[in-house]
Amino acid sequence: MLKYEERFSIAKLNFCVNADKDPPIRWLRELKGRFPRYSSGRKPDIRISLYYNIKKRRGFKQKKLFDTPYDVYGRIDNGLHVTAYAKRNYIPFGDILRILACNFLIKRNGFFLHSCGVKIDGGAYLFAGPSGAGKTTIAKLNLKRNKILSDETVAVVKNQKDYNAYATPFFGDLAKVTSDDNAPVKAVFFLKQSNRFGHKRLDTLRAAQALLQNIFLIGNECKDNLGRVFDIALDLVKRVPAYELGFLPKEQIWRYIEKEISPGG
Amino acid sequence: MAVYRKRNIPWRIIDGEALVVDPEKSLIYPFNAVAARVWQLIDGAKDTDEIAEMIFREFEAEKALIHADITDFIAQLKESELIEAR
Repeated sequence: MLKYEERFSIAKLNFCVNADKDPPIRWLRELKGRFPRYSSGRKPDIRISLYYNIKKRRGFKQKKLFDTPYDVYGRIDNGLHVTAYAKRNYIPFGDILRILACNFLIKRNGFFLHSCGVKIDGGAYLFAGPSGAGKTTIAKLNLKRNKILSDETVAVVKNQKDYNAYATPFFGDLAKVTSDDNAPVKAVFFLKQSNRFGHKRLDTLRAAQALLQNIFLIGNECKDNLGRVFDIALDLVKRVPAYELGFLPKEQIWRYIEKEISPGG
Repeated sequence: MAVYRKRNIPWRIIDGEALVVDPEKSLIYPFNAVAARVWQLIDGAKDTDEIAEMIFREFEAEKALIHADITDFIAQLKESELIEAR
C-alpha cells in the first residue's frame, strides 16, 4: 500500500496518483491550490503507482517506459494502470505525467500540442512551434487582454462537434499567469521568426505536416498509435484554419492578427 | 524485384498528395502527386520498371525521363528505409 494519494484531472482525463514519497503529491497539491479546476473527485480513468529509489523489484518485469533522461521503469496494464519505478530519489513528476498523459490522450482522440494557447472571445487560438520559436513571447505580448491557457503545452481533444483546447499544468516561463480554462479551437498558427509580420494559410497537407511536427509523441504506445494521431491531426486541420505566421517580437503582432487574419477564417 | 512499403509506416493521401511518417526516425515526408502515386503503387506486387511504366501511362512526360526519375525516387525510398525489395 502506497502512503500518499492525490486525484486530479487534465483535459477531462481523471488521474489518481499513489506514491511512496511525497514530491509528486506536493507538486499536485500546489497545482490544485493555484488552479482549482485541475481537482477531481471523479472515479479515476488512470491510476499511477509511483515508487522512488527502487533498484530492483523482485518478480516484476522491468522495462524502460520512455526514452527520457530519467530512469523510469514499469509497465502499463490494460492501458489504465501505470506502475512506475524511478531509480532515483527525485525525478520531475510533471515530466513523467506529461509523457503518460500524452499516451492516454491519444486514446481519447486528443494530443498535446507544443504550443501557446490564448483564449479570445470564447475561442482558443493556438501558436505552435519548437522551443525558441516565440510561444512564450507571443503569450507575453497578450497578457493584459486575454487568458493564456499555456505558453508551452496545450491539450487538444475532439468533442462531438469540434476540437477543444485545454490548459495543462505543463508551463513554460508563464506558470503564474496561465489559466486552467478551455475553449473550442478556432485557428492554429505555426510560428516562424521573421523580420516582418506576415502570414500564409496552409493547405491541408502542409497544415497536417506542421501539426504532426508539433505534437508530443513520446513512448512506445504513442508510436504504436501513430496512425490514430495522424487521423486526428488531419481531421482537425480540415475543420480549423491553419496559418504559417511570420512575426517580430513586438506588441503589434496582435493588431496584425486581428486586422489581417479574420478570426476563425 | 518487387518493392513494398514497410508495415509500420503510417501514410495518408491528402488531396492527391501524400504525407508519410517514419516513427522510428521521427521524420515526416510530404510527397507531391506523382510521388504519392508511386507510393501507392509500391504494393509488393510490382517492381520498379512496372511502376515506372504505369506512371508513364498516367502522367504526360517523356518515357526515359520518367523511368530515370522513378528509379531514383524508389532508390531514395529504399535508402530512407521506408520500403524494401523482395
